[in-house]
Amino acid sequence: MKKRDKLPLDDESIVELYWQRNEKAIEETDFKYKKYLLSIAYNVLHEPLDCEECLNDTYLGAWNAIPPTRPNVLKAFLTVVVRRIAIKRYHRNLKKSSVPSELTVSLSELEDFIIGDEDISTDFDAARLGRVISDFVRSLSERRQFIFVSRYYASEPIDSIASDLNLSRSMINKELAAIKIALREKLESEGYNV
Amino acid sequence: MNKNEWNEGLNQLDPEIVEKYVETKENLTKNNAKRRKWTRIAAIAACIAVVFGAVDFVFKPFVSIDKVNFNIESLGQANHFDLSDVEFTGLNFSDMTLPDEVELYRVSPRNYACDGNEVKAMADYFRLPFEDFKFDFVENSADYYGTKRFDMSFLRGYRLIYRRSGTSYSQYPPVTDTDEELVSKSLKIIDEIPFVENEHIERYVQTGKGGQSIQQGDEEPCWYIKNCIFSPVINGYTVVGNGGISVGFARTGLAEVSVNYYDYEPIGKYEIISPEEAYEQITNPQYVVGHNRDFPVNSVTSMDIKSCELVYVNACQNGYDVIQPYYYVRGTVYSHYSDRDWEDTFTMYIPALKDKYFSLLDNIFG
Repeated sequence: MKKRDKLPLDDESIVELYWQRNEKAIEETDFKYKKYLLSIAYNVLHEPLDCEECLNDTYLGAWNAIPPTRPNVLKAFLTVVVRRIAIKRYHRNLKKSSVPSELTVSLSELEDFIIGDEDISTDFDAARLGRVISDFVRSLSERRQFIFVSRYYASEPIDSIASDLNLSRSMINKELAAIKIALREKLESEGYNV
Repeated sequence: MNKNEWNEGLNQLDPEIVEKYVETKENLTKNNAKRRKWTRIAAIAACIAVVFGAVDFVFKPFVSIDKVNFNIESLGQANHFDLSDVEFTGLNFSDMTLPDEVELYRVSPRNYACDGNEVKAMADYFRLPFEDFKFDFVENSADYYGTKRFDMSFLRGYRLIYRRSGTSYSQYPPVTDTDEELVSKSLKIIDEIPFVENEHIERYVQTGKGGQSIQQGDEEPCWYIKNCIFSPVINGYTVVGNGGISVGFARTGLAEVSVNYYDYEPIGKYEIISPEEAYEQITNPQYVVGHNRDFPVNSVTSMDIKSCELVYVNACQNGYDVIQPYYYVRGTVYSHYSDRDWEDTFTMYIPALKDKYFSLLDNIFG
């Protein structure tokens, strides 16, 4: 019989391993998603060592969260975790020096109304802003939803988004410009100072 | 609004949007790979067509953003097990006594994970050393205390953590308490936690290593954290899957508590398949979940069924947020491959609802 090639486990089985507190859960997650998670972290941080540390924190986060959580889509769950960890590190790094990452570029595109790197103000309600942004994303067309999340959440380079959608770079830029105008209106209408 | 605030807001993006993005991205990647392959084939075909004078050749790129719908039965994904010629030993379900029908429940969606009063009560109970509750980790100089509000799908819950900052699990002294002692301690804590209904039973005690020790792959079973996991019971049946309480102990004492639960309501009684009918389905490899990747699934010789019980499964599927009955089967699977005998545990979920009800669910949730 031919020896089986090393294939990634399906997500359900990986989650089941987490539930069994089986250490192979991390190993399998790493085998299946390391490259993807590193790419998300790299888009934010642009620093390989930091990305590796983010990756380890992400696995630890997953280990701590599952159980009791049983994620619908493991990859999406890991995306949320790695982004949160990377963003926290990004703002810490930013206090020391500039970070030449794709996130920095994507944030600069919004500098018409999102300015400054100060700390979060005491009365800021992240959950509320999260709901406002989520409502805004849901109001967009399918294509614009994908572009918004790719660019501003996953900090994907514009060329990569264009390649995913088989569109030209200029078309993506046009779409982003339209999204930006609508986003600004939405934030203003919700009382944000932009 | 500054960039820090914008990013924190984005961190709170609805997880369903992220799920949709991830799935769309995967579909696009697959379709683009297909398209590239077809582009090459089409290029060759076009050359041939030109050679033979054909002019009506149109190539359309495969661009679509498909919604991915979860199937209610997708709890068990195909594991490539070949169970066609396998000897089953152990239990055959014949001594199970079950009703003809059981109540089905739907999970009531919430727009929020948990309200401020609930979180505040938890913070007070654990005497967390901060007043301004941010639903996130709060770092001190040496330790960190934290609480995390779950915001996944309809679930509401909390995660409370006390851990030495910058340490991994392996830096704790090993836990020496027995499982029974830890369960007893856990139940005491659960009884006192505000807002947690007394509906949880002992399900199992899990032991786990975390952090760096996992990567170092220690051989010795030296547990730095032990978690007692408790699942809800509805209508007398344990709920497997989402929801439940986890209480973790390090040698230094209580290390973490996770509470994750949800609202639910009955939607009617539905017939279930009999234990005998369920037993007839045990050769279906789709129902097997959870095994080690190295296990040779194509050379299974026998499966020894050690336990079977009817459970509710909260699979948290996007299509239908229902808590539905499954036969929950566990045992040992044996294989012979490469002149070696293999052994592993298996878990199997056999849907207990009769097939005809799946279309009814479309009407209920449609």
